[in-house]
Amino acid sequence: MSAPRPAERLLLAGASGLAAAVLAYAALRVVERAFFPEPNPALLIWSERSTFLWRAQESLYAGGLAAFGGYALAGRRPRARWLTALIATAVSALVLVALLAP
Amino acid sequence: MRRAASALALGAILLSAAAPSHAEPGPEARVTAQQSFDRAEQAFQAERFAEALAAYREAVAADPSARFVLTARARAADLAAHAEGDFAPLARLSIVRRDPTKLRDRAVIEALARDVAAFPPGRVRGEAELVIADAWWRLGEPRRAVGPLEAVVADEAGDRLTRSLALGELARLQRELGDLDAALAAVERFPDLAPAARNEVRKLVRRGRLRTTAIALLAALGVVGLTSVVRATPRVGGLGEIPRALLPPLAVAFSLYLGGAAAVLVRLRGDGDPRPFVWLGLGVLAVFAVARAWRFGWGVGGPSARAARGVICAAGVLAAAFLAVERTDASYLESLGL
Repeated sequence: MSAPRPAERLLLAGASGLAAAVLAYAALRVVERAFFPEPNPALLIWSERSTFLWRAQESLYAGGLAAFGGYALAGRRPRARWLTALIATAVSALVLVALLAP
Repeated sequence: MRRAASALALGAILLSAAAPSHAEPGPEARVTAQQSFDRAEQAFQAERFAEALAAYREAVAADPSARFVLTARARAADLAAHAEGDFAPLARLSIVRRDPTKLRDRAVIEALARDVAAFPPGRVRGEAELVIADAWWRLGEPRRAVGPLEAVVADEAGDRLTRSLALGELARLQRELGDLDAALAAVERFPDLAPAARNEVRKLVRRGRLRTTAIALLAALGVVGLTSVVRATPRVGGLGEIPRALLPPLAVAFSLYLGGAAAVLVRLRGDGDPRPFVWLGLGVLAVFAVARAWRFGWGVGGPSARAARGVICAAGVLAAAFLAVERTDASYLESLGL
């Protein structure tokens, strides 16, 4: 299989970044529930910061880091089977978090 | 008949419960108590401590229900705890402690230090040493405060709270003087006296060791990088090609994102310091350049060589991350237990 074109590599990088962001979100949520429990936001009248928003931002940052790795990996392994595995892992993690630590 | 006897007994019980437990002091006793308290206060202000102690006790005995009894009891207890040497040491200390100009006078502090050496065991000796140490510290001679603080801490006859305070101050002073080993030795000598100060010093010592290790590792990586660059120069086509070979655009972009985006996130959050992340990005870029130079200079090598190179460079990234945080805003390390 020939090496992917730059546009294809960028697409693979973006996809891996998004999948990694989902995985990072799930990991952050588990860590937060396990080690940094906070009061139920539904019971609070007002909060200065939304932990959900920060979690989402940090996940997107982690996804951005992973996108660089995805770009580099796409050049070496153009079949991108790793991306399939990454997406499957991310979806599974998100489903598990939604069920066990919402 | 039986009902009448029961009613009588119940009445007697109620009457005894309603009666006061002790006799109320008469007007004369109240006046005596007030006069004793006033005399005690005057004696205390005039530093006639034995007279003050006796007068406070008289006041309490004369009218135990007076409004000033709590104050009188507390003053009497405090004076009794400082009564060693018939109050002579306390009077000597008070002369200096109550006058701010004396606390700024080197000759007065030196004279007090000479007198303290002859004080009998007790609370006053430790408190006087604390006053002396504090005075030297304020006078800009912190090294002269070490001796008095050590004397307080080592004084087994002294008050535990005073010794604990002195140990905390001694650890803080040694840290300010840059002698962390001395601070550690002091807190380890009396581990139960000031646990918070001990934990703080141990944490700083641990950080110091990690800092030394991180600097040594990064210095070793720098040497490896330099020798690798020398060897790699002819292989990549000359010195001019080195930057392009060692710093590909993807690595530079990654480092910029790693440091820059994290700094932006921290700024958005509003209460953090973005500098550690900027330094982390630069550190990672430097380690990446060393790794590339290593590969170009010494060849790719077998699997074990590649693994060793990877482990060492990963340790280099951790070292850079630690220094980036520790040198800029060490409060981030608290959350990691370091």
